Amino acid sequence: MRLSELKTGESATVVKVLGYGGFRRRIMEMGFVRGQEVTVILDAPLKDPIEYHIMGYDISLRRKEAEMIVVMTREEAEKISSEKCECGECCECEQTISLVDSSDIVERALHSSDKHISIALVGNPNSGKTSLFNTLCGRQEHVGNYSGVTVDAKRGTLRYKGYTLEIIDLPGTYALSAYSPEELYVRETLINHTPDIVLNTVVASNLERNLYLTTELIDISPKMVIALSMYDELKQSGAKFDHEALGKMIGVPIIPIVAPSGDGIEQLLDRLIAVHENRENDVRHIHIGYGSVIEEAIEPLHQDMRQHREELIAHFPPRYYALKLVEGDKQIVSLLDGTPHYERWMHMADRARTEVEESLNEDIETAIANQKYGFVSGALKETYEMTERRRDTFGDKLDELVTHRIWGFPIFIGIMWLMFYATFQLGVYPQEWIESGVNWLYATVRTMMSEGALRDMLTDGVISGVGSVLVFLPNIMILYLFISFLEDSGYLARAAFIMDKVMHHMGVHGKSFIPLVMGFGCNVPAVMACRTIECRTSRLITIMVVPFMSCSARLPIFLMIAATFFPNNAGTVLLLLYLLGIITAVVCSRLMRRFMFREQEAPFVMELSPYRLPTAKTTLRHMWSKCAQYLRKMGGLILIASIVVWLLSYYPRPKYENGESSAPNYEMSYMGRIGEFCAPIFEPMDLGWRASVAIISGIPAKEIVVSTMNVLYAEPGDNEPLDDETLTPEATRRIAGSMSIASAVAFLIFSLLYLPCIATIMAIGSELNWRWAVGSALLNTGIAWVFAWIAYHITMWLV
Amino acid sequence: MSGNVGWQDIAVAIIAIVVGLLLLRRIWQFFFCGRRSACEGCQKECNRRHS
Repeated sequence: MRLSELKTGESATVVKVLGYGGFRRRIMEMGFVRGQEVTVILDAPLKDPIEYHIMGYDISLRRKEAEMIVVMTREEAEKISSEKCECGECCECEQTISLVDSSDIVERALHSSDKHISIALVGNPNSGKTSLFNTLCGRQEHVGNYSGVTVDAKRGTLRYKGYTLEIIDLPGTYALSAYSPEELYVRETLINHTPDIVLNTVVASNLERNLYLTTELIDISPKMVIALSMYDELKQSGAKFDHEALGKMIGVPIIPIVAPSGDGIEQLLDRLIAVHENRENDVRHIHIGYGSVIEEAIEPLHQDMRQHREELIAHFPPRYYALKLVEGDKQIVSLLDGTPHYERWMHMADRARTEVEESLNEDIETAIANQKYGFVSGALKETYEMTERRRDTFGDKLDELVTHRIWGFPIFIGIMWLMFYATFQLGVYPQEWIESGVNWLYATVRTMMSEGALRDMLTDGVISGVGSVLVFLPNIMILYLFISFLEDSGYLARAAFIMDKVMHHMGVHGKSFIPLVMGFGCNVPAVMACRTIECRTSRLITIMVVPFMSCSARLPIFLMIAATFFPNNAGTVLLLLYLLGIITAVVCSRLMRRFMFREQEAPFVMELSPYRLPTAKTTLRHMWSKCAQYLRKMGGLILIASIVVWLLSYYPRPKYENGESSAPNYEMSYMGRIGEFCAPIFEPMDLGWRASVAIISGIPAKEIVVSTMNVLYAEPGDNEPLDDETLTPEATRRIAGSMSIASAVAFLIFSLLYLPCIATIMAIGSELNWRWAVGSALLNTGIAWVFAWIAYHITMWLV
Repeated sequence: MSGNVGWQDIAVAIIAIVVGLLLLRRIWQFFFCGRRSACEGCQKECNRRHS
């Protein structure tokens, strides 16, 4: 924990001091060195500064300075000491423990914390960070051949030669400025988590652009190692690269790797440990030279900041602050806002900026970027020999075709059609097998168990409820097989490229198209697929409008009502409903962009990475990880929801005079009462209590609406329905008799637009947060009610 | 307890209690730990605060 987190009277032992240069040295000179015990004496009246007792004297520190000191309490030490190494390969941990006095738990824990290295994976988008992360940690995180696959930090742990390496996989970023949320996120993670080492992934076949980020990282001066990823592609291209010479030149070890095959991983780990333990000879800190004009302009500000370094948050060196202030970095400006010299520094930064811009006749950002690229280009000139790139490769020809002005769209629509056709047509056969399996289980349980509540719960609640979700698994698997292939091959980036203009008019990003199309299949994977959209606001808007896309679960409702009330125009009604869903999504996204998220949408900057033939292993693993997620999350939820719906519709059961319970009675059940309670909400549309109950029962899964209506409109003596999604002729007649056409239209529109199933709400909660999930449910239901009410009155007027 | 309550009713009651507790847990998380998707660090912090 950090020293600032200790409460008055608490003691802890200093582990290490974070930060750089003078600040760190000064703090250590004051006695905050490893192993020293420090006690909190008191807080100042405004909670800042804090008085500490160390080495027999009292010292006060500001809270933000205390945040930079890592300490260990006795409780933490006891916890660490009780954890044993589970690598099963080394005995170093045991040896380490025996070397120190076993009575001193803190000392022992300090000793073992030496073997804990936190590593942040930083690199350009699509530079193979997640591949490397998966190889290192044995994980199966989603990787794809397009940028922006990782949208938040993922953590994994690796034990290697007695060391525990904690690895944080960060989203891909091209720089560390405050330009996009990812860049800010990466920089904030580097500030808040202060990793011991930054592991920078650099794509071997695209050195110049990737090394730009490396220059930014060198500026903030962390311990760093470069993993030269996809090294096999560089070798195949015939280019020559002296990575060792470049590593010596920039003071950062460079290790070539091929993450999927594991080549170079051991060397990489060895060098990481060596850098952490300061055993690496190549490591030295260099300054990126920005040319005489920029250097001379920032020097006065740099010197002034060095003199008042106590005012700076000590995560970065003063030179970095000076550079970013001159560049006008908003986050750095706000970090420094409120410091005593803020006004003066801003004035000096303005002057430096003007000087540079007047001398070089270009804006400051361009000037700095040019200098950085100049540095990279100079370094590569001495170490890299490029082969000329041919423009007539298979990938180039394919690209010309799939992004063609005329052929691009038909090809795209063809691929989408094939994907959905395969999803729903090929999925039918395994779906039938699962369905017969579920029916067999249902019948077997009913036969084997004696009559009673538990039997009804297991059959009507659990088996029917979970079975109705399980039957969609084949469709989901086929859909994900296609999506994995499209992602891994690199086509998805091309699809987003050709759809960007249409999507931009909707107020979202080109990449939003894929999740919206997926929404017609199932809203849950569609919401999850929104992760691929880097722009936060576009991602948010897309997630919020995905539920308006009519998923396949709503189809049985439409078919049932349309066939009952509009037998001659059922197809047209169906088409109009799908169109209404799309129009609602377009209008909502435009309104959200106009009134809620007015911030400028991120420009469409997307790397069209080279085509790669996905391996069967990667594609199948990707598909399975998605399906497992679907089964785990939805299975658990659907199970609970099915039991709850069953309980509410089964109880209470009125008793006969002899004390025995009667058969379940929907109208008298809790569900029936909820329906009666909610009926006034649907009163303006003249929907009775039965329709209200059916709508409510559809909250866990929309398919339940049809089966609920079947039960509610059925009466003793009716014929048996063919299946859950078909009404008996008697029930159909009763529905037609109890609802007017206007009410039926309102029912259809409400079913189309009201809150998506619980699984989708859960997915939204998991992708955004629970407030957005509730917001989405309210938004959908509100819009559904208003549209249904309007449609009811228009139909009343027309008919 | 009525003499008509069979073992199946008792089993259903137990399952209902378990499901109820699971739902309560979800509601608790909803109000107090509204960051189920948050990073591990945030979740640890959340658990620490509510433990």
